[in-house]
Amino acid sequence: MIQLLISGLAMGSIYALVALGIVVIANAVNVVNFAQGENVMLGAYVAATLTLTLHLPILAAYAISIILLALYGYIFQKVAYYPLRKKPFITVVVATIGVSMFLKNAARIVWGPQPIYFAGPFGESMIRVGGVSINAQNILIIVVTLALVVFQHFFFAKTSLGRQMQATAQDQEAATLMGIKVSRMIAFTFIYSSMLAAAAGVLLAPIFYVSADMGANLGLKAFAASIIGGFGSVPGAILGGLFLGVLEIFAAAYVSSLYKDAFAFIVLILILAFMPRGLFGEKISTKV
Amino acid sequence: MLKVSNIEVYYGKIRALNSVSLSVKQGEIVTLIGANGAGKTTVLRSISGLQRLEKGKIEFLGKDVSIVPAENLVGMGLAHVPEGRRVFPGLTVYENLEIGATSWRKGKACLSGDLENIYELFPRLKERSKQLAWSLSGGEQQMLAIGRALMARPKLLLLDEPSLGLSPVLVEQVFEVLHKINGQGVTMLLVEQNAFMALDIAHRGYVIENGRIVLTDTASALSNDSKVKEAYLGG
Repeated sequence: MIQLLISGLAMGSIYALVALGIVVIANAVNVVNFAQGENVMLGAYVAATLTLTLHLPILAAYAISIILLALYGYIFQKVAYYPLRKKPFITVVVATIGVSMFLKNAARIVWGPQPIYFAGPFGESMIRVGGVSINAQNILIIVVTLALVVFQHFFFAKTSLGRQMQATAQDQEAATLMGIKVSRMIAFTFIYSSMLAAAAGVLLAPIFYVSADMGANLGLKAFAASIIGGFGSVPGAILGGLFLGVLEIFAAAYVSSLYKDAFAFIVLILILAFMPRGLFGEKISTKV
Repeated sequence: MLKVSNIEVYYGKIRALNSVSLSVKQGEIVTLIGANGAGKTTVLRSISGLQRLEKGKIEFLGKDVSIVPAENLVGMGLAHVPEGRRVFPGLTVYENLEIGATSWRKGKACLSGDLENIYELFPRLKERSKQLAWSLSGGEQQMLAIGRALMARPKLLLLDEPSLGLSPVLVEQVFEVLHKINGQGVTMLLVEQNAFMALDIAHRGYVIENGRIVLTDTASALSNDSKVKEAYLGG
């Protein structure tokens, strides 16, 4: 029971990180980034290559992967967002789908079709608490996710850069009138989102195999999680992710592991039908 | 201080401004009045760099700023209170004001002097400083939008319909504060549909119709002009 809950929360933490990456971009530029799952895959592959092929220490590989993904985030927005920023929503969304396909197939060419096993810093070690043994990687995932969420909250609420990014997300033109460099803030948002993806990728690698296909399902589930939580809401993305992770694990354990994915999407459909603002969605807060 | 010469602006193929020229001198309140859709907002957006010019020239403090990007103009001393207030809904009143100082503030430079001045002009904002901006009433949001622009320490303030959607009592209050701000040395270009209030506070005025300036004079002369009376002051 406890073990299930922990692994559910760990998987949910990953969904939450990916969902956060989707939500910060959606809030900033009103685009749903369908490449976020592939960004996670890229982060995982980069770290795996640095460790397994170049034999770098694993923590250094994590750090370099996150830095490289930051750079990638900058390029991503220059290529897939910036030239299209004045185009309709759907045009940009299609561009992100294009990037996701490109990344998936490029990964297949570069790293081959075989999934790679890439162990975490603790290998397969288990932690014994009372009578239950828990996978150390799961604990690491939960702790790091928690730390990132706290960091993000602090960053957006307390730092000047975070405030400027928030202002840009809320009203680009008004932000321009304040002297905020809007295109730079948007670039930062993409960079941050890609770094979140890299973090999710390196955390996830040991419990998933690293493969070209790992991103597709992940991106979709994270998108579902953000809708379940209430699309656009940061706490909603986190709680929606955790909820989905736990739900899946319990559904797999007690009902059928074959239909694990189906449960996630059944819940999504139910939420869309009966609570379109999501479980934890903010009440619409515009006032004229 | 501000000199707009023969600017033309197009939205697609439609000409929104047709050779508009106007000027604002140091210390003045100048108003631009006209009907809905006459081009008032477009004039302000062109001056603050939000709207691309097809032709013409805009000089601010003696420099040609026709192609200076909007985000750099604020630092030169030109602040724009946009139509519809446009406060940041998810930030608190205090955070909105703090963001207003972005153009000149380095690091954690102290804002208390600026804030004190604004809280004195708008005591309501002080009471609500921790509230999120979306939860404010329309009048309070307008006060916040003006306060936020003042945080930029502007030399010239562009105001787009500050009376829009406010009750007559609030309109009076806002205009009173604008008068005070002008007394503190801030020059203003005020766009208004409420011509009566605008001409009351302004030194000079321009009347715009279909993207053209059709009349300009001192505010008192405009108030007594028969055409202006008929068209904008309710006969």
